[in-house]
Amino acid sequence: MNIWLIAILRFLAALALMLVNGVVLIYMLRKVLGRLHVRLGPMDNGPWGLLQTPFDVLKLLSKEDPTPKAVDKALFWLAPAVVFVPSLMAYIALPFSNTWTIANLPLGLLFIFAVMSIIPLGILMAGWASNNKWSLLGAMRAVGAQVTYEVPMLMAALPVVMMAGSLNLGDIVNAQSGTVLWVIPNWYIWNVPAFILFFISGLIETGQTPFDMAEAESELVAGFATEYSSMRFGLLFLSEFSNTFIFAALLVTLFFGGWQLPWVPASALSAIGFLPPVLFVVKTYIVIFFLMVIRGTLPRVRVDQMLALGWKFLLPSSLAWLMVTGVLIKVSQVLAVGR
Amino acid sequence: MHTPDPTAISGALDAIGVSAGVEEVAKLGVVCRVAPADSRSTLRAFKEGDLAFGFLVDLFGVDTGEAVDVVYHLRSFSRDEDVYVKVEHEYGANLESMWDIYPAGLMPERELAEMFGLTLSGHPNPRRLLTTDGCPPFLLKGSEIRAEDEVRHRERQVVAPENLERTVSSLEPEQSPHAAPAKMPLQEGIAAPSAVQPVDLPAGLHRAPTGVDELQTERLILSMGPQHPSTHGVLRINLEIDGEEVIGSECHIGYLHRGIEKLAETRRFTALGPLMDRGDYLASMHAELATSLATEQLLEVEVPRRANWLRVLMGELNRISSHIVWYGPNGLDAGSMGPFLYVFRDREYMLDILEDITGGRMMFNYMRPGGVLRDITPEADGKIRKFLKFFNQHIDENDEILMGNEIFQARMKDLGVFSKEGALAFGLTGGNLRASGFDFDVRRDQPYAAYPEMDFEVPVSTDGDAYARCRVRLDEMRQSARMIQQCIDGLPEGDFTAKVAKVLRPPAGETYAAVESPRGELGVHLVADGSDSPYRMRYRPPTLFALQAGEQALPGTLIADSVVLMGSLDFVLGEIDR
Amino acid sequence: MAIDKLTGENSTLFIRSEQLFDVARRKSLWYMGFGIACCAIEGLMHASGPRYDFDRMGVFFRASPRQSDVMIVAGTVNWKMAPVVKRLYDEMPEPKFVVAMGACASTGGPFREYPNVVMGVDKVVPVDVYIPGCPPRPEAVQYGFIRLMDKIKAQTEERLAHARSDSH
Repeated sequence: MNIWLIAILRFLAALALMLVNGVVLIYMLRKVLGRLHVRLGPMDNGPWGLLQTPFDVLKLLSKEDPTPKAVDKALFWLAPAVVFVPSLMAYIALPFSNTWTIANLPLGLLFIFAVMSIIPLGILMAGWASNNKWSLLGAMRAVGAQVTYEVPMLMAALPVVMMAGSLNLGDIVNAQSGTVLWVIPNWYIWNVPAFILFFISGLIETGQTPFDMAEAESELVAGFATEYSSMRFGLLFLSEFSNTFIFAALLVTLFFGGWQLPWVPASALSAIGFLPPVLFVVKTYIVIFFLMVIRGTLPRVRVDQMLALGWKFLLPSSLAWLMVTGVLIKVSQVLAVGR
Repeated sequence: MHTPDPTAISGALDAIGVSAGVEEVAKLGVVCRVAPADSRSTLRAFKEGDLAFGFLVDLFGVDTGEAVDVVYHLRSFSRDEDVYVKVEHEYGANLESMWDIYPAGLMPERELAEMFGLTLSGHPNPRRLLTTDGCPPFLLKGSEIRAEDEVRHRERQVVAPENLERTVSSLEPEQSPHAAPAKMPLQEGIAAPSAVQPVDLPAGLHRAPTGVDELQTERLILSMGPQHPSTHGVLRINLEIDGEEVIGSECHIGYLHRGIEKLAETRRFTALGPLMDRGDYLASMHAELATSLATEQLLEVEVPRRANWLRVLMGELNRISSHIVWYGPNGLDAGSMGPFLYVFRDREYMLDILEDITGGRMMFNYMRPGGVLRDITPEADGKIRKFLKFFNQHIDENDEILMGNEIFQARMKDLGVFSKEGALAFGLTGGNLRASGFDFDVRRDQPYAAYPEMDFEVPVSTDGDAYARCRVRLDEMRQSARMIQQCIDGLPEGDFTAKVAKVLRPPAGETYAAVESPRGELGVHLVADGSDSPYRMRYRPPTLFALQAGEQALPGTLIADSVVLMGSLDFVLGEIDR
Repeated sequence: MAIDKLTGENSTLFIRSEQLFDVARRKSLWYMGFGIACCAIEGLMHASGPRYDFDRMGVFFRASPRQSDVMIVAGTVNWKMAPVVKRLYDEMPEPKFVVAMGACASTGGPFREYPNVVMGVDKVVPVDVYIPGCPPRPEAVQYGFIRLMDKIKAQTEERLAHARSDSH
């Protein structure tokens, strides 16, 4: 087929995935939070409230879209796009199976990090253009947080890259196949410090509780999105959930073996064409479930405490752990050669 | 509660050359009357000399028909004595601010001046407190409430949308040397730096040092406006911020001013209950109880023993449910959604019990002069026992999930520290005062109802920070559960109310009654003139003093902290604005 | 022409899509809680609480007026508060609704004799549903919301009937 047609179809697939994700995740969030909080979530609209998010989206589409008089018009219009598009782009490099990726990039991990780091710019645009002090505060907090934690996040992912030997996410998944001692799956979760560092940095990058101060509802009214209504707000809202999905997908890819099952050989799984993507999505959703449980329970960390955590603790620790992992890998290589 | 010695007071005042009329008024205590020119030296003598009346309980006014009586209600904790200093001002006269002697009077003086048509001088922020420009002094006897005609036919009140905007201006007299700004320069965009100045405090409130700024960065004035998810009611705090740090703060209240004190003058004594219900709407029982106690003191009615025990039972149930409404949103302020819903599950059960006994979920109208409305039923008794069984376990769980959380502790510890002297200087009472190390509880030290027969502890902490206030209130909940258990087990036989007339006409006089509400000492000062409705009712709101202390503690904190700090003080705008 | 039947003003497509959007508007009402006084505890906190869960009906709390459809005025409005209410109402995007919860917001309530109190929030903003009570039970507030949903439906039906009849 025409390569342009293939490219457009792939893009549409990414878009469809992102939108469906958003719809499902919003519903899941409300239900999970509801059950966690001893109540039911949406119940009336559709069986068990399944139609709730489509109704929400339709309602957002039909709202008036006022642009306040004193906003910076160009930035105000652009900001949701600058937040939404990088999030969409990050779907390109995710490995849903051996053959199912939208684009098999040799620098997949680096591409995702690079693209996600454009998002703080969009948030800052949104906060600044709104001409609202609350939005500005939310935007400044978000930018401060996300800029601080980009480096630890990358540093925390580097031990995994060193162990796998490649930045290509598909290769990282394949390197986690097989078992050690026939019992323990060869997943990189055993590199626990890297997992913890990556988890914390990622929570902050995506603005999840306990680090959701950019949109701290009880303090900043609605954070940087205060002045946005209807579909612009919908885009911002959607991209927040989409970022969560990407973060969870990265966690699964880097530490939990991607689309693989623990003791099932990878080739057997790949034989059934649709199974690996389904497994990947299921695993990601399990991780997201845990993120939502954390969201419904923990209080919020204060901005200066969080920044202190980043600069004074996470950055040195991730550097130190990177060195330790490098040494351990070299030592294991020397031992393997020597045997 | 002892009566102070009138001769000692006259002696001390003669020593400084002030001619005062000191007399003992029945049902009230010792009243000392001085002229306005001597009021400053009198109050200084009361505070600093041998008399040592260091605590300002309340500052309010009474319109006697010929003049405005400004009443300073002072207390000495060491000798457990109360005294009243009354200063007669003419209509339209100038009220001199006493804030440097008693900082607790900062906001009450503003309210007094605007409600009685006086001007205010010597005050750091002499702005109207509760009403807007163009409002008459409501508490003067000449100021009338709406006529029946206008109330019945609502369409007679016409509102033009373009006339909605209101301003709030200064109460200072024209020839005063201080030049306070007439209007907050917010509408003109970003204001000049330092337009809002924090007040210089005489008594040491611990305030974190402000940040370093040589860069001359711009400061914003942020309005945490009336509609805000976390101000616990319609409160507006203007914060001057430098980045995230708060440099100056000013609280605007009055968005819920509904005239409870003025309307009380038109209602009968038994109808004061529903009115007071809606003041501090979370502690309705306590507000009603204070009014009933004041009325009973005027009527000299003896309340039966069973009624007293029932009062304690319902009061403690109300205390737990009020602390729950504080605890849940406190967690929500810090960002944690879970505990809010878990404690509200318990509160629903408690409201079931309260509804069984009183008929209402929030406005109980249960405490009446003479006793209570109705007796407790066996079903309600069973419900209370069942509630107590699971409550103690739940309170431990809820304590652990929020107070034990490290993130929460990191946010609350060392935040908004009030020293003991600072807390006393600002008139704090209740949990806020006990968290700063001063052990005073109206239930134990000036007991009422059946509290002398109850076995309970009063939790005190010495840290004085937000975490200590949370800890004190949580322990209070446990003590309340303990008291409810004692009440249920030991409820004596008897009547649930004394026989009082349908229409109460207490003899002329005045009295003061205080209860320990969940927020502090809730006092009612009642002046009767022999008719069937009060001449003047003053509601002493414990959280007005907490609010002004919090306002002074805000500079130096971050914006995120300011929300949590104000939440830890547990205020309810209904009683602040009345 | 046949194409007009599909896409013109009173076409099948238009009417069906109007109905679809009407259903969406009804079933997903986000409220900006204007909790002024006592009613806020009952109608906003308890109604979203564990027993009377508002989220069942798709109704939940948004802090910013720009993202909400309904403004629940819960509590007494006085002259100092009225301009704030009006301003927040103006900031909400269409279609917007106002629910006056409690006696104070409907008519001034027990405080209506005091000159500082506005006798009902409908003096300041147009109100769609009045919920009596002091305070109303949480179930009453939810019932008020159900009546609001019925009202939205009735308004849409009226508009569509108008559109249909215009063609004749």
